[in-house]
Amino acid sequence: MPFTSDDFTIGELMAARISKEVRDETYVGTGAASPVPMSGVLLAQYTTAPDMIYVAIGSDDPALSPISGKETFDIAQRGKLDLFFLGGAQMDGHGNINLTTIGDHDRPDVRLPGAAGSGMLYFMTQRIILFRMEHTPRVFVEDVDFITTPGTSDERVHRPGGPTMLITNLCVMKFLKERKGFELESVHPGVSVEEVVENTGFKFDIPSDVPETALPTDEELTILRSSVKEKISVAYPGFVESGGFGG
Amino acid sequence: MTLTGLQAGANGVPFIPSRGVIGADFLDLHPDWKIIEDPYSPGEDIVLVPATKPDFALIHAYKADKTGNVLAPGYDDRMVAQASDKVIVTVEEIVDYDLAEDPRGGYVIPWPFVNTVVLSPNAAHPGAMEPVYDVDQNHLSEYIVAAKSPEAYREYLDKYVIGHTEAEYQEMVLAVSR
Repeated sequence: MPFTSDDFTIGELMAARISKEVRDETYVGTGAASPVPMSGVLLAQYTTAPDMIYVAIGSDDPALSPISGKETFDIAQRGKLDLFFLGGAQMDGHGNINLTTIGDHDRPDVRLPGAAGSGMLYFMTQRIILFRMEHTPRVFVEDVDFITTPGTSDERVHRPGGPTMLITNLCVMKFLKERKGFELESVHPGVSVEEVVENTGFKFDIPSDVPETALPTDEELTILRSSVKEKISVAYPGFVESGGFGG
Repeated sequence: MTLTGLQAGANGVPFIPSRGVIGADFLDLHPDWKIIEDPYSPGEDIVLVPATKPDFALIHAYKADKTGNVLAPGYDDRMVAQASDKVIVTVEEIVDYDLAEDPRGGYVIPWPFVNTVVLSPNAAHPGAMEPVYDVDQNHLSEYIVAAKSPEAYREYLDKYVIGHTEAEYQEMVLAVSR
């Protein structure tokens, strides 16, 4: 069974889980096409991390992007960006991301937007949360067709950061740097471990006990459906109109 | 890394080192990028991105004032202008006040970085000029179909570009989108 709940949407569940990763008094950034990460970061700003500095790259709202995209990259390269979010058309079990081409690079089936800074952000942001709203074998593949940015690096490369977590519409996984792979952390309400396995093209570790993902609290849902929804409806009207928020 | 090359161009240095990138497949697509051992951190490798120094920059922006200050959507535009030899800026609007003193809603490209300003509303079409106007999805769809074969592409050019003035183009695309 896919995710099921009468009380909240999948976006709200993911946003609430994401908000727990945001640390106060740090720089936190999101890129384009990120309504769920943005919701999670804003929820944290309204609750546990009021003094973080949030930078939504490319946002028209000055309150959400107090510095430019270029300056955000500079902050990351200085090692001061604590948390950022990346997705990918394809992602594999070693944390490699493909944002470039599907199929043969020179005659691609699909030409994607490209790295857009992820080639550096993935190394220099202290923690990267990978996210996708589509958890299927075509997204989570054994090997990506093109490595736009690699999940791990050898010791000759200065890399303080990298992936720490993957969150999808089915589950949460931890990225284990030493093992260069993922471990299942929790499954969303209604989702079985088998379903995650069936929808993932790569191998990952499964602990003997896999809990359910923490559910959003009533307080979190109230904030998501008021203050957060208001800001998201400016930045991502389509997400709100398509039922991203419940209630 | 586009920005890194432009930063080097703007700074007047031949290259800039960049973090990341090592291990990415797109390194193969840029044979002019070099991996060297960081001379200040022995044992650590780093990528060098050569300077991008455009002969011309064509930038579309929101507004220009009479001095040639330009209000652009991004800081990147200012860097592109600084890195380029000649800078031509098309704008949606020319205003009477001093943009350097009232840079609300954008980033100022200061007049010394600007050679020419052209009043050209809707010049980003079929792209977006947020928040003034959005992408013209219908026109882009037409373009994507046309771009699949040389014949169709030629037809597209004949219909919209070759032998047409900017004003005629704008009239055609506005008539369709309205």
